[in-house]
Amino acid sequence: MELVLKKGVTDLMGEVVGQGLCTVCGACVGTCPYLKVYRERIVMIDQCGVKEGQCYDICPRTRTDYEALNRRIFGGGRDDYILGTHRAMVNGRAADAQVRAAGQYGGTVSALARFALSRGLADAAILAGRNVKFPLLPEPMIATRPEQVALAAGSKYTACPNLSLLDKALKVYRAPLVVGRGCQVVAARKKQAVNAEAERAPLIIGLFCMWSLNYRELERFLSDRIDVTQVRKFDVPEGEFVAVLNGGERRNFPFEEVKRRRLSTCDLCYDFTSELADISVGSTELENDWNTVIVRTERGERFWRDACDERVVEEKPFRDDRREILRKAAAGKKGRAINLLKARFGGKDKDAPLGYLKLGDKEITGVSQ
Amino acid sequence: MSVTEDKPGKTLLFMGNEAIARGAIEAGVDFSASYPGSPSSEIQETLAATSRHFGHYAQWSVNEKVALEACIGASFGGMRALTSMKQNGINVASDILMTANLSGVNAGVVLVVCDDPQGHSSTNEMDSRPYSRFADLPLLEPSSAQEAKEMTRWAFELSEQLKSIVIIRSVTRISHARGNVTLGEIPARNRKPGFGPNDRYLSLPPIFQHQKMHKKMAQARDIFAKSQFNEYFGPANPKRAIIACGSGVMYSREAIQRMGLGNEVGLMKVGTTWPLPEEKIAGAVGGATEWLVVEEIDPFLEENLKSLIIDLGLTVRKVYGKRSGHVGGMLGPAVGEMNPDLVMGAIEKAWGYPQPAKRQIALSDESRSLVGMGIPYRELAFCPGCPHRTSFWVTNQAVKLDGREGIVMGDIGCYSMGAGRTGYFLPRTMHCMGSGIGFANGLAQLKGLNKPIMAFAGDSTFFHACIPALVNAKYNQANLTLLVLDNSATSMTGFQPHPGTGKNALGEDVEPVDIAEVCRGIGVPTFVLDPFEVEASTYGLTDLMQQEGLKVVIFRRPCALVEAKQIKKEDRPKVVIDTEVCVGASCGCGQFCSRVFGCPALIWDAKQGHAAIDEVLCTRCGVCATLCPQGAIKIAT
Repeated sequence: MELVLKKGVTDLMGEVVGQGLCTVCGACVGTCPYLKVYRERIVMIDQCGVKEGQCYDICPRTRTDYEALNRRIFGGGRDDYILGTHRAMVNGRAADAQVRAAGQYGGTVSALARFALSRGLADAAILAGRNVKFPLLPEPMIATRPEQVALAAGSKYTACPNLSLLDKALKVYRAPLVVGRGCQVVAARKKQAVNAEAERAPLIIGLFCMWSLNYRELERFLSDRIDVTQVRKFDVPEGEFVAVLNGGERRNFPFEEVKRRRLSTCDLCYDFTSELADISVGSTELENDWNTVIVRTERGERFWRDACDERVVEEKPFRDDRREILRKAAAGKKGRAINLLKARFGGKDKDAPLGYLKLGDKEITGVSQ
Repeated sequence: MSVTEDKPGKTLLFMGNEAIARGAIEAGVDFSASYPGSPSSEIQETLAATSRHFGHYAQWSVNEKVALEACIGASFGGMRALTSMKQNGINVASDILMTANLSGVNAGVVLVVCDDPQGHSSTNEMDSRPYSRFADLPLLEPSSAQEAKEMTRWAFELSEQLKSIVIIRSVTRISHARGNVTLGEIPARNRKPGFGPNDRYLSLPPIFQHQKMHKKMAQARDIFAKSQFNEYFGPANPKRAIIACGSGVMYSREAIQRMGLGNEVGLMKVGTTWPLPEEKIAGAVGGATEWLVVEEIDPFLEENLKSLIIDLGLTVRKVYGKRSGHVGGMLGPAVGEMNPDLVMGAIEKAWGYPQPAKRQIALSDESRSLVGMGIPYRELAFCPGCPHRTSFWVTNQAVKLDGREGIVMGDIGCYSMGAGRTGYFLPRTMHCMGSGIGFANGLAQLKGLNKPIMAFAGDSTFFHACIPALVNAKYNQANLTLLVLDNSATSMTGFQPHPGTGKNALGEDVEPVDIAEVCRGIGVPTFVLDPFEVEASTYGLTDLMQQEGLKVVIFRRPCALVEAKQIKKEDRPKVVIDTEVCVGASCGCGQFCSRVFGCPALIWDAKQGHAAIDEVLCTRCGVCATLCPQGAIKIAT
């Protein structure tokens, strides 16, 4: 199968971690006792002595065949080269105002996770929680009760290795729900392709993600300016980077100043809207108490409908003008990533002209249109 | 205990070290203070165990210098004192040797040094005897258990006669071998302590005391010339003679006997090796043309004998030994232990006498042919359930997680073995007690190195030699982390108590010295981790490693062997393998438990393709159950 790459941890450490391509998704860490993550760095503690391993197959920065993954997930080719295959696109939000207030924008992800846990669709949810020791460094957590979801509410803007808990969750729980950035959704899907156990994840919720900030650099930047232990969440409204503190106080920083502290690997990311998720959720860039929701799979659609019917979330139609703006943003990110990948990897390997990405011509031309 | 038997003339089987202790008891020793170290530890253990019986005082001291000073102090107070140590110990004690030799002592002081030829349980293979010549102190070398006892008893008399410390040098094969010892009388102990208003013990003025010291050596030479410990065996006026001391005496006797040279080759046994019994040697073998010298480690006796030839104008033309290369093992002369075969080889090489046919060791050959191999190589390894293994595991992971190639200095104790595979090759140095934090004091000051600097130290090592270095680090703001492996025992040398254990040498309860409080008292932030809480300790240590500044991290967990004496293994739940869950060699594990963690009780069942627990070895500590990535290792309920 195309998705089994016949390489192992040494290749992973050399080609991905060593090249600064790691997105700190955590997937490899979860599979393996020899790999660990500490403060945004993947570390190989010992040699596992195995030449070929899952760790390499499931990494979002090893060869990623979007076409093959699409066929697995959606049963066909990609019907939208910019926003990914989807069934519906709406504005959505948590019906509960308290959940909205704690979460990001409309609090949709929190509401869906709570719903899945309370209805027994999932018996665990893998989320980005808080770290007591390093306040700006999110720590993966497993919520098993709806009220625990609140511990993970709010966007973190630094890379949280959520998937480091996936294998553990699969050992203990029947149906662990996954929430993650685009790279993490890709990793989870790649894992499902090579490890049937992972198919027990009942739902994969993807987040819109332009980039993650480098935790150490962000901490250096912010700790001179605010008490980082008091940060509850971040927000990126137009032209600004906002830290929302525990008391509700908002502290603004120049967007470009913060943005340049992002992980360099994020510039190579092709996937702004978590195209392989069951449901993708992001901001509206317009309304502060609503989210953009892209419903992609049949499973995702069923779940979304149930959540609407049970009045856990509310929805309203997605405006066409906003759709074009979102498409432009997604296409822009793809275009920049493809150009960078071409410059960095192009020509070296005719099977991998774009580094980790394996794309058909249509995809590339689709973006350039 | 047989050492306490008061039946003069009775012959008992004693370990060499017990014989030394018995010798001290027969000399009416009043006071003993030592720091443990192989192969010397049983001397003080015996004196401590018999302390109540005979009424002499015994203590474990924090280090050899303090021990020797305490003994000298007791001697100033009029009481006979003995200290025992391994060869490394005399280096620690050497400072006081170089002034106490000038001041002299009052009541007898005997310093027993047990060398470890071959370095069986040492970081070096040092010959301690040059200290005698260096410090002008008389030196005795016993060649048997009986002689070890007799020499020790006599050493007190000699010490009082000369008002000088007397050194006895033993070696592993004397200290740890057992031999017949005929008991002597145990005197009534009637010395009373005293320190007169005019008693003074000064090394000043040095030149006059130095002159006095040389006179004492001349006096010692005269006494040694008459000593029964120097004895000649063999034909009168031999042309060829072996001169041997210590364990070399027995090896030489055996070689002469087996080669049938009793009528041709003489054997001069020298028991008082510094200063040499000149007349006695000259009288017995001075007329020979060739000498062959047999002794352990360095050519100390050999070189002194060569001086003697010049000084006395002897006609000896050739001295075979370590210098000439005739006496030596596979790695050459002055390396490794002596044995009768090496002596026979030397005799053959030097004089051409044929060696007897090699003994057939039939059973060994048979077992080899049955098994298809010799005895398998046994790696140095931490015991099953040893907290050091987990502390090393935690530190190794923390160094990797930190990612700056942190450097860890080693030190002396069981955990010295951690420099090998059992400790994941983590320590980068290993020298003498306290040297780890000493080295760290230097490395930590190197600007631009940009690597975390750490040093291991055991709890006993901490008290022995780390405290001045920690104060130094505090004073000079060294950016280092001292990792104290606190297993509440001096395990390597046999579980002797130390200041942190709350017990003294007699097993009495004393207020323990709390390492954490000592460190905090110096002003160093101090953290205590439990190495068996692997995950928490790993991340805890990594976090600390990332913080600048001097700190102490104490890994606290009792030695598995000590704990085994307190908690019965059967009272703990078994550790079992769920063979259904164990994934064996496939991806996701790669025999993580048996291949990487390396507990001897955790084995690999190659036939069945899964992990297994060696029930005999397993201490049921349960650490492996927390490490197994599959959750296949379980604590039975």
